[in-house]
Amino acid sequence: MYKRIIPIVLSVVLLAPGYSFAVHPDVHSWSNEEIALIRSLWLGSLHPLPDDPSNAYDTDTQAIAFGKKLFADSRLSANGKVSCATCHIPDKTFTDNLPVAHGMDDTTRRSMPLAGMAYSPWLFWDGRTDSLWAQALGPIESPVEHGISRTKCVIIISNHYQQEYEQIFGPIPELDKTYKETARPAPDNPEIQSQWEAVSVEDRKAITLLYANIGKAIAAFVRTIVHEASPFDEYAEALFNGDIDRAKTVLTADQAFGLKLFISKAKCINCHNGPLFTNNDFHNVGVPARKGYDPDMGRAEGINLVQANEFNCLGRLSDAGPDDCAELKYIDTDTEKYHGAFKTPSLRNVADRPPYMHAGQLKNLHEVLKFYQNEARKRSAPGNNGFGTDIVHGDITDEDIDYLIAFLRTLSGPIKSY
Amino acid sequence: MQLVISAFMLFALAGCAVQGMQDHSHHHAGHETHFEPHYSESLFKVTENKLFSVEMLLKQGNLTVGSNGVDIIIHGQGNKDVEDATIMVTPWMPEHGHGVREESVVTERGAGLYSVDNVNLTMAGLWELTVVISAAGKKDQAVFSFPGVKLERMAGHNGKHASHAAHGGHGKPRHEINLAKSVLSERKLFQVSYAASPATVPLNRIHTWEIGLQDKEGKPVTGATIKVDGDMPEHGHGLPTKPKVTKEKRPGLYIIEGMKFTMPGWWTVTFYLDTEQGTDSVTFNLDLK
Repeated sequence: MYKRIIPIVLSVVLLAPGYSFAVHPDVHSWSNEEIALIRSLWLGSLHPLPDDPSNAYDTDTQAIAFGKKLFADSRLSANGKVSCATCHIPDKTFTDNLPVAHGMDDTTRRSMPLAGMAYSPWLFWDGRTDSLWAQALGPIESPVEHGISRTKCVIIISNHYQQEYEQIFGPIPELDKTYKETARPAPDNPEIQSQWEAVSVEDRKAITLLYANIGKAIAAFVRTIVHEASPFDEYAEALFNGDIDRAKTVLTADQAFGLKLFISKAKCINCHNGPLFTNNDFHNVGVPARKGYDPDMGRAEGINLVQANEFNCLGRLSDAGPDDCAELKYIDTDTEKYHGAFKTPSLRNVADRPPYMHAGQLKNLHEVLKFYQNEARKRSAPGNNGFGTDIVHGDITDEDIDYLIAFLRTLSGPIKSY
Repeated sequence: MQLVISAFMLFALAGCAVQGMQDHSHHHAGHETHFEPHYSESLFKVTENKLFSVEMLLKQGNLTVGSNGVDIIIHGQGNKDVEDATIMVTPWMPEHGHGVREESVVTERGAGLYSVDNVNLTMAGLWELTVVISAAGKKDQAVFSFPGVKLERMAGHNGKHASHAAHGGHGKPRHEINLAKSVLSERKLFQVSYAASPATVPLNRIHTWEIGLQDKEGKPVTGATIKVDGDMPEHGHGLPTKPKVTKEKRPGLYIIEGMKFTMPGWWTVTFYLDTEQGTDSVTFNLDLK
């Protein structure tokens, strides 16, 4: 009988609320393995900003300056009120605070933050484009976002940016006055599609080239939006320098304990890894569809869309060479595996941008962690067509959730852009 | 930590064995056959309708994520060995409601002994092995439960044929993954090596591998068709890309493009080799940081 009682008593002592206090005195000391993990998350480990081979202009300073203007220009919309910056607000870590993005109308997904996006091989929650420039072009022709056409873009650029455009990309095409301003490829809208087919083949090419170029200019600017060091990064640096006294002034014991959970028991680092706290891969975490919304297929659809996208890395308008585009060439086409899967978002500045998940289903970080604690363990999520989940977090307690949130708050730092 | 895990595993298995023995004594009633195990360290169960007993020996000493082998001894009426039985062993994860795609391979060894290979467990956690026995027109089954199946970092990863396992071959668990970049293929036809570029396999970055393929005499094997598969045994999912061999750079040296890993931890990469000298496969282990 004693044999049974002793372990129970011991475990009660270990698991009682006081447990964390017992851990705290040593919480700032780390094993070599833990230091290696912390280094892998440190912003200083981030490799240099990649140069997109599909965009010949992405490091061109004129293109960057031009792209910055276009990013904030609401003339690029059907009602004259919507710019890229409407949903990607510079002061709000280049996202907004809405559950789903709202341009001309509500979309079906949350605006994604833009910092560090140049490092991502796939853009949008479902990765339906494979470059920043292809991404930038999606919303402009989306009826619920900017709601204009590539033909209209030629007119706007010609009226307002002729010199800037031509200095970078060459002459703006002169269009036949009979073309409709709303003309664009629109397989789901026969009227608009017939407008587009009324445009000569040559002009369609010229219009689409200009459209791709404004995408490339916007992308050149978006590429410059990057994270700067957060308290976590300062803490990491202090640890690497062996300066524990300094480390203790940067992160509290609770925050450091949250970091410990993050890289161990809670398994957050499985997907939120690397200096941007994301693997840029796609996972079904089992979060239910937004109330009143259809189940979202996520990456399963994105796989087909990116391969069909006329602006992809292998397309006519890409500047990539024959040895580039590895991500698209070797894309995993197993759509079944990616039902309901969405891109892992970066956790840098995550505390600054509620609500969360791909359709803002969860209001705050506490709800997110509670979700992972309770719901993600289930195989299928209600309202999600029984899509499997492939995320398992460790057995986190309510107290652990508080520590994890304390740690996540240390990931907020300045965001820099051109 | 490794030691703790393996100690836990042994404890869990010991628990199973004791459970099995208890089951056996409970069922010993009336005029039913009194079944007895051959080996003290085996897992032992009487089937649900008490038609057979199933004695199970784990070839590697425990079940782990990845490919496992078990030996099964079937006794029937009068505690006699059952020969010519059809045995099916099916893994199931009751908490997740799924099994595995791959089927186990059963080989009859005689005297009631059946060797079961390729019992492939795809992730850590609670697993059940259902053993269905059909013999002489009778069918019955027993379910063995394995709580806390974990990653046991085995050297190699290849299902070895331990034909003598039933006779006391209690494999000792090893605690290191074999991270060698040059290994002998499963059927020992080829020496296979890989080199990643960059040399340290990166996380989250698509990159290229070179595969060197040589025969037993050390001569390059040319014109091979190579298929690539990757797995994260603890998570039960594959690579995030579909890598392909794009060219044979020089005789016996193949370029694989599109390699990518997006999680730290234990990965396996398997190459299926189809050559004029025969088909074979080889699995490399990676521990990604």
